[in-house]
Formats: sequence, C-alpha cells, structure tokens
Amino acid sequence: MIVPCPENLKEYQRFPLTVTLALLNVFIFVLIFNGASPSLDNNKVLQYEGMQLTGRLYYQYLQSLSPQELQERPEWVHRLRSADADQMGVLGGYALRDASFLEVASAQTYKGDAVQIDAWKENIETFRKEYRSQLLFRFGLSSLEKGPLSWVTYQFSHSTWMHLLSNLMFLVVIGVAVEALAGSGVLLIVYLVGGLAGGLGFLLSQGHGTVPMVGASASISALLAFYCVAQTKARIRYVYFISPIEGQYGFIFLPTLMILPLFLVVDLANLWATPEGLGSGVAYAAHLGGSVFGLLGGLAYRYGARSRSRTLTET
Amino acid sequence: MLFPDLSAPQITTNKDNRATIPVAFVADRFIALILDFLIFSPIVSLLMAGLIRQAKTFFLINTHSEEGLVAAALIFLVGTITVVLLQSVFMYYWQATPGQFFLQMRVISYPNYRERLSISQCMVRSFAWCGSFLLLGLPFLEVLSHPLRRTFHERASDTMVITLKKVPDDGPEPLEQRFIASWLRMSFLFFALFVFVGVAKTYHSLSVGEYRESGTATVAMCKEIKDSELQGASRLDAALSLFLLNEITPECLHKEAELSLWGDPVNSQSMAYFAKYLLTEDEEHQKYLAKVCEDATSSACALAQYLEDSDSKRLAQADASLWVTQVLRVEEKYSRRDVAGSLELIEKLQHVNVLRSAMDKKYVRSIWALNERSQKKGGRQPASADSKPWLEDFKEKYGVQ
Repeated sequence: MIVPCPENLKEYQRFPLTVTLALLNVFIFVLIFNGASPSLDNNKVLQYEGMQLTGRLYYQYLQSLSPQELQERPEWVHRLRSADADQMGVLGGYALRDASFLEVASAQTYKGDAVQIDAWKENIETFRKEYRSQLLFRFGLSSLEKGPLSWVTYQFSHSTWMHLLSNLMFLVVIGVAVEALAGSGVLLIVYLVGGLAGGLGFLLSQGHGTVPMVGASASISALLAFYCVAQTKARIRYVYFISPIEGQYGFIFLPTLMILPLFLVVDLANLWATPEGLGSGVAYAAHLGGSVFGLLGGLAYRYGARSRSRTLTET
Repeated sequence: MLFPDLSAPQITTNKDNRATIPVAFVADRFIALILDFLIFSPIVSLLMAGLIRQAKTFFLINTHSEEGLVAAALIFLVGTITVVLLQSVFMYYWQATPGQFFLQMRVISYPNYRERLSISQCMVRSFAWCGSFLLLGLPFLEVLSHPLRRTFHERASDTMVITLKKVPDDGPEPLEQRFIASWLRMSFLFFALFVFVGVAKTYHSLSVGEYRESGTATVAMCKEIKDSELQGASRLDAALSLFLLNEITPECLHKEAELSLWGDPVNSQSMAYFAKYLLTEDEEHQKYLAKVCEDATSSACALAQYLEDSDSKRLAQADASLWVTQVLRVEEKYSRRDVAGSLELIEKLQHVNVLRSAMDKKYVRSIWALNERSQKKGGRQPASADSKPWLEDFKEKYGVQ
C-alpha cells in the first residue's frame, strides 16, 4: 500500500477551504444521495431481453438515418448483425446512451414483433421518466441535462461511498498542498473552474451521450495539475506499508513533476482504450479537461510568482 | 592425485559474500516493484491504447472473435517488448529501474564485477524477469530463500541488486533458506502437474472438436432442430410441430419465432405469432392470439382457435399441407379413437426427416393402442382399422411375433 501523506496534514486549521470543500462533499452525499434507491433497476428495458429488443429497434432506427448522421455513430456499431441476438444486446446498451434516439424512440415505427414493440414503447417511456427523475441525473452533467446549475452541482455529487471516499482522499491531500502554496482563493478558483473545464471535456467526448457525470475528480485533477506545475521541484511524502515488521513500512519522497505526466498518461491511455460510445464508468475526458486547466493555471501562477519576486527585488 | 567428489554438495562462500556485499532488503524490492508498475504501466498502456481499444471492440462484437485473439496476442507481445526495452534502458543508463532508484538500490554485475552492466545483461535480465510471470511469478519467491537474495532472472544475467543504505540486509537464515527452497520445489512440481493436466485437457477438447467453428449464419437458430437445411417458413413449421410433439424446448421455439419475426421475410409472421401464442400466458397470450387472428382466414388463426376451443372444424380450415396442421390432426384423430386415421397421417409424416424420430414414437403409441383394442375384441382387428393391416405391418417391420 502506498498512499500520499503530506507532512503538514495535521495542521488542518491552516486549510479552512480544503476542510470546507471536503465536508461539503460529504454533507451533500449524506443528505441527498445516500440511501436513494436506484429506481431504474427494475425496468424491463435494462434486462437482457429488453436490451436485445432495444438493440433490434435501434438497428432499424439506424437504417432511417441519413449517411451523415450515421457517420456520427461509432464504427463498431455499423459492423453489428441483426441476426445475432448477443450483438443486439450490446447495441441496446449503446442505444440507451444515445440521446437523439431516446428522444424519438417511442414515436418511431418499427417492423418486428408488434406485441413486444408496443410493450417496449411503454417501457422506454417509463425508463425516460425514471431516468430524468433520478438524483444523479438531476445533479449530474450530461448531453441531455446541461443547465447552468448542473455544471456546479456535479462537482459536489457522488454516486457511492467508495466514489466519495476515493475522491476525498485526494481532495484532502492535494487541497492542503494547493492551499498552503497559493491560498484559499486560488484553491476555490482552481476547484470550480477546473470542474467546469472537466465538464467541457466530458461533453466534448460524449457527443450524443445521456449518461450523467458526477464527482469531484475533474476538480481534483485540476488541483493536482496546478500543484505539480507550480511546484515542479517539490517532493511529496508517501507512506508505504507492507507489514508491521520493522523495515517493511516507512516514507518515501517522490517528485511532483513525475506524478502529473503519469496521471495524464493514465487518463489518456484509458480514454483511448475505451471503445467509442461506451463509457467505462470513469470520466477520463473530464479528468483531462480539469488537468489541462490546472496545468495552465499552474503555469500562470508560476509566471505571476516570478514577476512578483522580480518586482520585490527591484523595489 | 585427488579427484573431487562430484556428488558432494557445492561449497559456497555465502558467509563471506554477505559480509562484503550490501544485499538489498526484500521489502524495498517489493515497494520498488510497485513503483515500477505505477510508472511503467501508464506508458505501456498509452503505447498500446489503440490496440487495446481494437481488441475490446472485437470481443464486444463477438466473444469468440479470431481478430480479437490476434489483437490480444499482439498486446501481449508488444507489452512484453516494451517492458523489456524500458527496463533495459533504465538499467543500462542508471543501473536501476525508477522504483529501485527511489528506494536507493542499484543493479550490479555479479559475480564478475564490472563498472556498469552490459546491454546484453540488461536485456537478458529484463527478458527473464518477464518470463518469470509465465511461471505465475514463482521464481521471484527465490528472493526469500537465496543467501544473496538473487532470483532466477538475476542469476541468468549475472546481476544482483544492492542497497545504498548504510545498513544492508542480513539475508535469510539457513533454516529459512532450506524451508523456502523446499516449498518452492513443491510449488514448481504442482505447477508442472497443473500445466500437464491443462495441456492434456486442451488436447482432448481439440480432438473432440470443441474448438470447431459452429458457423456464423446459424447464430440465432435453435440447435435442437437437427436439419440445418430447413429455412424460412418450413423451418418454423418444423419447430412448431416438434414443440407440439414435446421434442424441443420452449426456448428453442422462441428462438425460431424471434428469427422469423425480426428477419426480413414476412411470409411466416402469422405462424411466428402463433408460436409466441403457444409460449406465452395470461395477458400476453391473449395479445398474441389477437395478433394471430388479425387475418381471420389465416391457417395460424385456425390453428390457434382450434387450440382454444378444440373444435375440429377450425382444424379443417387450416392449410392441410402444413406439418403442424398434420401433427394436430394426428392428435385429434387419436383422441377421437380413430387410430387408423392417425396412423395414416403418421405414416406420411414419417417421410419428413426432421419429424421422423418423433413420428416413430407416435407410430408405436398408436400401434400399442390398436393392439390393446384388438385384444379386447378377442384378437380381431377393430373395424376402423380395416383399411390396412397395421398390426401385421408393424410385426413384419420390427420382427415381432
């Protein structure tokens, strides 16, 4: 186990904004998301046969599109065969992410088992209503829901306890480092604007996607990139633990400059390795959007700090 | 002249070596391994992202994709080559991987000390390191038993890991060495056994044709219907007949009905709805009945209505050339005790390949009923069976006295 463990973590009263942001994330999760039942689970559209049927109908929907519209869909979608039930199941999974299909799904005319199609039209309508009424959808950011508030609310929303805790761990460690370096104001700006940049990255990578994004990870990526660029020569303390035997636990110090490229490379590799149109559960594009903003912010901070010190020297 | 005793255990100078060489700690090496993984894996993943994406797409479309297998093999190959190259470059220029560097360790040439490692030493070491993973990482465990903490890949490349820390590792105790070394030997034996069993099992599967291509055109078809030449409406007709004869499962009929309903030809739609009608219950059942009887003159509607009210007039309205109609007639005649009538139809249907086995059973059942009735009437054949000597035919065919 290797976990970042900055030396000044104990002096938490020196980092009021980091603590506030962490608590805000926890409160929002506990008050709003914790215990909310996922109402979509029972919908027949999400069951295996429902997915196959959705795939078959989506296949017919694709035939009705113009070549230009068809080209906007991933290449692998064109290679699926309607006779293969498993492939239609996969296509069904993609169809439920296609916002333009969901808009017209129940109004389209289809060929096939008319009894099944009628039942599916009812189910898809219920699915759409339930989907829109979900907390994650209302607070998250997606191609369907991108109101001005959702750009901010998504940064403080989390889907599960594990999601929240993993983000909090990094928020506290990196937040403390940034707040100690540049102050609370800069931390707040990097967190919020980094989140907006992450949202933009996510929407650009999604196209027709309906899946909402939640979580502070884009903002945290921005903070991480900001700190690594602003403090290129610093070393962060990490604690490692193999067993309680002496020599098998302790601290190591790793350079910040090494962390950012690796972080960026991981996100980039994962983004490229995911088949187009199918999310992997992690919004890598949002991480990259946040990181790019953090990187620019870090450069600006370095430039500002250098000119400030020059001005002081001259006076 | 004194000949050396070759059977005697090798005399080593471990104690001396331990005193002069600063052996690296196992814990440090483990942490270095994790750090190397954290540092190398993003780089390797980025280099192979396109290939991984392609492989994922191939397997997404077809779980048995051959293209996917080739892509997976390429990923394995490119990954191994990249790791070997990355490690070798770090080892050649910095005498350590990044993880070893951060944990103050260096790789030196041993037992023949040289100023720096040669390229071939770096390559062999990295290659053997990758190879150790093929043996489930068991060779790495030698780090626990070897007096100088030298594992297989280090001995193969004449290298050794040392620490720059002031206090080096003492190495394992003799008892520890013996215990771990014996345990490792046992593990290798078990591993070899598993590999042998695995190879034998794979060979067996290969020889019985488990890896044979099943053909992509029949993906959606039911395998329980043996006649693969049957297509379209006649295939669905056969599926319905076999289902009514309890020869295939509901899942099989469902597959065939889906194939007809969602396939391009629409000439068997009403029969496909009839199949769905047979498979569903309650509300859905009624919905499919309504769908079947949208065209009230269709054979499918006549058959469905016959099954609803058992009125033989309905059955007479259905297309008599359909196998399913004939199967229902066989049953209808049999239930009316018109055994000879049912036998006549059975004899016709016995000529249909796909129905032969099921019809043979019906034939024996009808002959049995005929025989029982003839015995009740004192050995005389019933009047209804006068047209043909069914019992004699049966005895002659099967050599029964």
